[in-house]
Amino acid sequence: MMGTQLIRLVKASIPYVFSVSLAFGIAGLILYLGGYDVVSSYRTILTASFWNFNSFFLTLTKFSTLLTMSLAFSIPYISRKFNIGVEGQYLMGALGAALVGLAMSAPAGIHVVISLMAGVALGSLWASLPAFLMARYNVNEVISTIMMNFIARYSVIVFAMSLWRDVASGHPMTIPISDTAALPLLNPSPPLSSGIIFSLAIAALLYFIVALTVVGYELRATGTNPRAAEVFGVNTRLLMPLSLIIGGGIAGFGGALDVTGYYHRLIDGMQSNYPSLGILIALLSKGKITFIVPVAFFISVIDVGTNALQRIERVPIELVLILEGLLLVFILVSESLRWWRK
Amino acid sequence: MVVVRPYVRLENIYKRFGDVEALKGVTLDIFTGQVLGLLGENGAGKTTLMNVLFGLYKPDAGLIYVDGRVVRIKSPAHAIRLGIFMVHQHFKLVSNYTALENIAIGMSSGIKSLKPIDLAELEERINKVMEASGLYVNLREKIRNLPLGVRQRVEILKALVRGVKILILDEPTTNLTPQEVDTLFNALRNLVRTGLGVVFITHKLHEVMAVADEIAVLRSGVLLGRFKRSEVDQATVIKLMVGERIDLEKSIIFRGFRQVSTSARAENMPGPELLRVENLSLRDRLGTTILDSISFTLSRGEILGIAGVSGNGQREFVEVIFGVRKPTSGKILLEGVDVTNSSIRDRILMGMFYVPEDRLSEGISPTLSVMENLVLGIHFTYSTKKLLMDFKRVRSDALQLIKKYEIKTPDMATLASKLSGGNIQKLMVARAFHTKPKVLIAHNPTRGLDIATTERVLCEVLGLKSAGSGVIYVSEDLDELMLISDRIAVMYKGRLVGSLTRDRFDKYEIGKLMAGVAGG
Amino acid sequence: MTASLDLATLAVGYVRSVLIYIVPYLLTSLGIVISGRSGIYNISAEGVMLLGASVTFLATYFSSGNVLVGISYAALVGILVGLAFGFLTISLKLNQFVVGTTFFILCSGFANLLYKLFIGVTLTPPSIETLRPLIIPVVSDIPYVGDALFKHNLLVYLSFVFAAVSYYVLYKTHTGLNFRSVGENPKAADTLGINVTLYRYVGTVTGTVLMSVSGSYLVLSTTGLYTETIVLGRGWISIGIAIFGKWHPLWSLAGSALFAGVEALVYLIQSLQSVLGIRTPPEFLLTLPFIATLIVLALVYKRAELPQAIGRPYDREAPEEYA
Repeated sequence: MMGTQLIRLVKASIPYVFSVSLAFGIAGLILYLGGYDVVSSYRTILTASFWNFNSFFLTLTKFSTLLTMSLAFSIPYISRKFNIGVEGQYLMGALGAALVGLAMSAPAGIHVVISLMAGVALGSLWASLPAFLMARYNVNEVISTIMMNFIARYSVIVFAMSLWRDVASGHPMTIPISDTAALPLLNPSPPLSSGIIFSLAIAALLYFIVALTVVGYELRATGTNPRAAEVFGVNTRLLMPLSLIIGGGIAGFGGALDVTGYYHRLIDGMQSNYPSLGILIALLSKGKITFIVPVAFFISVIDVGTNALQRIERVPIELVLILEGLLLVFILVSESLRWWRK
Repeated sequence: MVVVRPYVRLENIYKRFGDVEALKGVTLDIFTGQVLGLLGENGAGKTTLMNVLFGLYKPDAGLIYVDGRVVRIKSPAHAIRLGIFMVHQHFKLVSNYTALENIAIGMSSGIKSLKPIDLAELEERINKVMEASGLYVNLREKIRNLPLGVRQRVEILKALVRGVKILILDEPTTNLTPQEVDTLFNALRNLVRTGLGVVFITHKLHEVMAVADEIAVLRSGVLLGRFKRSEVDQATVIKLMVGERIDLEKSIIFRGFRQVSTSARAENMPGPELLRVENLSLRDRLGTTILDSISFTLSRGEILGIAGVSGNGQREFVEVIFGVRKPTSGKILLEGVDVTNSSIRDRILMGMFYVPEDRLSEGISPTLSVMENLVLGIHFTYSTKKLLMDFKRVRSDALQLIKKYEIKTPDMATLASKLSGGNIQKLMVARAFHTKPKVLIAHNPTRGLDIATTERVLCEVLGLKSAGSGVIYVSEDLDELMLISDRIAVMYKGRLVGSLTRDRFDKYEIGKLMAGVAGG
Repeated sequence: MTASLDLATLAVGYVRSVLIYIVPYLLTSLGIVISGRSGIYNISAEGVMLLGASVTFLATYFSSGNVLVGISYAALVGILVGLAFGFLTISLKLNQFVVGTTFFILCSGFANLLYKLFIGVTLTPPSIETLRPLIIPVVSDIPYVGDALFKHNLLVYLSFVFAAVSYYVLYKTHTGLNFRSVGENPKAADTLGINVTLYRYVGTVTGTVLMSVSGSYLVLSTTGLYTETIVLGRGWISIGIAIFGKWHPLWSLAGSALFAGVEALVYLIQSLQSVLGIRTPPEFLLTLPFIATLIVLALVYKRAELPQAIGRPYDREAPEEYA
């Protein structure tokens, strides 16, 4: 009994093992062709997160960002809408939090709360124009959200170079936000923001909503065939744009968490490669929140590792992006090739 | 007597899909110069067998002989080169192209096809063929503007212009008025006289009796017999077609073939008014009238059959009544309550439900499991405090339904998209009956179902009638409507014309209404 | 007197700019249209363009300025990407948007990775020589018009020629009739002998080659540099152009001209501003193309017309819709 179950499990995992090996194999080939030591590079990539508390906390911080980023993509993805605009929504959320943190003064607890709320609000707002265009004019959300990404990037630059500009720095960024707007730390030194608690809480909340509630059922029913759901009374015309707006709010929240918890200022380019990594995580997890959490953690480990590798050996950080992309492609391929199933 | 060799011989054909054996060693000869009726219920394997011949499926085992030689038919294009063409139920036409352009696809290849396109010569040839066969089409019109009956002719012309020897027609009468059916049968007889061979796939006995020279009966993937039409009687054929699963004495479908008097069904008078529709009209964005001032009432315990060729507004009609669309003007009253602008959910709460015609695009949500699909529409009634879904209750109800309607699924948690077409239909029907609706709107609910399941559905519909519910049964299958309806009305170009009660049912009268001939 | 001369020069300069900026939009949107007409919706354009740019730069740089080598490498990479994209979407029948998103990320990643591996981080970025203009005899001597229209580099002329050729082939030949039927109703095409798979691969690869060469142009036309932001959203905007161009080559030409006009306008205003001494953050103007895209997409929604089978994989053995 246990034997056959085990065999079935092994058989089911073959495509994934294959994909991971192939992806790492090709990445290894790239490293080799680039003249890097493959073995030591991989060692760094996979272990750097665990070298010390500093790197581990950094991993947790990135995990927090990647988690919110992929959740922000996954909610609209349930109704098959591609929210490539997570980048812009994240940035505007960050901008909102920075604005509150710089322009306002308020007592400690309240200041943070308002910053976070501003993040959610601006992120949702940023997604609501594409949501409206989608609902009213049937405009493809892929393009509209990407247009908003570009506008957001420029907005961040303008904001970072304006009133609160940090003139000492060579790179566009603001001065630090007020202490009262900073998220409390879980650990003072090395610093670990409490942002990760918020991210995990959001993940849990979303899981609950999607899997166990009526609204979640209706969102999932919309899925790849909104017409069928619509015919039987589900308000898909509302749900689809709404899922986009909620996605925006989540991304904005993530941006606010990073500003109030980690960077404590608005920096041009702070989104780094998180949007792309986050989207790939959601696609790898097929939109399932239970998969997103571990996959996001795995990718943050690799990201920290690749960053360390870049500092030490000058290996381009695109490696993590390519690794993840290849992983997704190979998993998609191996899942559709039937001869695994024997 | 000259012994003629068959143009096509299918020998010992096996075909399996997953763990379903669709064809189990079928051997069939097809001759030119005759109409072969391939008879069997939905799911018997008739379409599958012909799809193998037409190169859409590869047989798992068996041989195919064309004109005496063994061939491996690699693709539909190859089949056409061998002189075989198949017209499916779902036409393969590009709706944005004209009829002429559709026929022209694939008729030129190589470097020649980079020259500026000139279809004049092709048009000439098609004109000659139209004259010879009696099937006329306006070649310059776009397909999307042509009625279904005409589109079918375009399909047949595609074959004739390419000089095929064997023409396979899959359930060709599905979307034709009785008069158009006659035209088609006449055309087929003309074509057969000139040497064409026709395979006529159908599940309707009376059709083969009308047009076929020979009849082959298929059931569950096995060829059970082949007869000359003149030498066989209907009872034998029916018995072969349905086997032992249907009790012909009690069957609804085959009631017409029994000698027993048909008043086995109590003639109950329809009760008080249940649904009233007044002057319902629908115009689209461009101002075209889609529904034209429709009025009727539906009483308790009444089955109102809506006949008509597909495309005359039936889809929009059911959608407006169920609330998927809002009418431009008019009123819908359910038990006296004005529901014209109510949401679908409210209508469901008030006792309406719907079986849509298009099962793949409207019947199921492919990303939900079978279990979850079974409660789509009433899912919110499975919630505690309107928020959390009670999946335990969903599961137990789903289990019951799967059993009752024999929905074949490996597990109720399987994605609904993995079900076969027939099982999806069963799911839709199960879901509808489970809600015990006061008013059921059904659009082609038995499409693609085998005889046993069709019996059950018709039985349940009659059951709803006895329980005092009203049913609006929209179907292109006139025979079926005539079996169970209390009244039949016809949809023609968005208008509801004629309303015949049971005692005045006449196929040709209804046919005239379907074709728009007034005063039917 | 002086004022009208200035206006004429301005106009000539503007039209010249439009023709310079139109090429990336034109080539990419044609690629998306051709791909789409065969049924494949390829949204990875932005990434493929960047990859084409990177490859062209590196190949040209390391072959001592041989532009032909650069473009050839870009075309080759375009073919490889097209084959891979086609394999996933046509043969494996995976969701085209998922593949498109993934390829966008992957190609962008590869583009930057290659550049960093070969060039690394330098104080002053290396550059290559840009394409020299091909001056067409006789017509280029016409006052004003000659300067505006007939003194461009080869790629500019070629892209217009290609637009005309694709229109002719798609809409005036039998090949085009067959090709478009694959994107409208592949089952109909298959039944009548068209090799749906082959046509779709051809469509996809043609598309990606065009996208890649479009990226080449970006590197070879104005600055001769490669940066991570060289494409700057033109790939995405080109998808928009294909959409509101109703997937038609000539309308895409018009749409490309519109956006090239917007881009030229942005630079025009910027230079006017510097002449007049007005200082605004440059970012304001730079958002113009993106806002324009949103507006145009909303305006044309009523007239949207896609190839009917676009985005849907074709499976010969799949059950019929109403079976």
